[in-house]
Amino acid sequence: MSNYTQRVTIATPIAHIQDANQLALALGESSADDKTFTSASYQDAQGNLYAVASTVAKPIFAQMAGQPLKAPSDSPDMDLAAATRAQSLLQINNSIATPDVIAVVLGSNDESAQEHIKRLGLDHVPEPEYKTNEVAK
Amino acid sequence: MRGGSGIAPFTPSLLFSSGEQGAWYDPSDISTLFQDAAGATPVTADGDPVGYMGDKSGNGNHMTQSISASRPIYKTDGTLHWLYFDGVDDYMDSDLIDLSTGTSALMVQARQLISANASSNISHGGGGGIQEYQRGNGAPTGLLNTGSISVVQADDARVPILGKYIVNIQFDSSKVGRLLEIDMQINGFYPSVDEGGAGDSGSGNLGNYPLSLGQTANMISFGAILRGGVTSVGDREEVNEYLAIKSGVTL
Repeated sequence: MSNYTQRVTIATPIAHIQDANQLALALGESSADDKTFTSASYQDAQGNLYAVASTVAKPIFAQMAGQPLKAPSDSPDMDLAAATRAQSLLQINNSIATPDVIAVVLGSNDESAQEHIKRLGLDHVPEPEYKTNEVAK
Repeated sequence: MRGGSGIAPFTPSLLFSSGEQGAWYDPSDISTLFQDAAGATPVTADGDPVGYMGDKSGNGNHMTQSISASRPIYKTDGTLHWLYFDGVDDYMDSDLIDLSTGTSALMVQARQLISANASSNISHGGGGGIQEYQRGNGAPTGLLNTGSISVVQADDARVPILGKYIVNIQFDSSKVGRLLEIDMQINGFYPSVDEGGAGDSGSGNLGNYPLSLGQTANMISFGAILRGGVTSVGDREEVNEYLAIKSGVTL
């Protein structure tokens, strides 16, 4: 059985993407995790924009997210102050996405990212309906 | 056809036996899967993230994902094996695969979308090269761009948006006419299609790009192949039959 028994989905308001990427670096498993949140391609009912990440996680995730942060050995020079700012905004299973919190849905690993995004109150920013004479990215 | 008495059964590795460029990914071979991009921690169980998927073609075009949250998940029901892409941020890339010395390539993936989304299911160079994608409520679509863009999109009742498909496309920019440039089979048959784009892809060579799987797709993948050059009709049939077993598709 996998150790990754949970799925976590995180909605970061566009204004906090930089700090949230430092938090991802502190909590994640890779020195590339400062690229976790990129484009703000989701929106709430008011049109506020969010970058969303979803992944499976180990049960220790929630505990780590609530503890004082430490720079991981693979990223000793990370911005701990920025990560701590993002950590102070975390709301785990306690809020829909709003611009002043980083809302997190934490559930079992058989839940889908789409279920979590629905619980966060978010929708994908609409893309044009592509026809055959239009070009994909 | 291979597989007769005394003849070794077909495996996709035979497509690369003369040094053809490309890649073959096989999630059913768990020994090729690792949780991290460095290939240090093996995938051992259903639900593990996949940060590295080895290329079995012999070309060394392994796929990786260094961002933890963007790694797909290895899944199995005990019989079939697949990668699950969450449709939010999961994808995998290879290093550059150089197809720039030719005008043609075979691109095949056995896959199923879980939810409709704007998805690039497999691409070599994205909109600037070759890819198979679905947009919004669109059906499987092949795109070829070697100077201008040609697309061929399935428009067939046998191809609903969320079906499980082996999408087998032989691209060839030296041909004239979309249906010859983008020869798309789905589960072994030729679907009715809409044709789009400028009318001809141009006749330039393909490019030197990474191969990407699952970008923005909420998808499961049972395996994928990219092979430079023209692949014979018989070998394409063999690939379809091979991936049908791997994916549980009935041809």
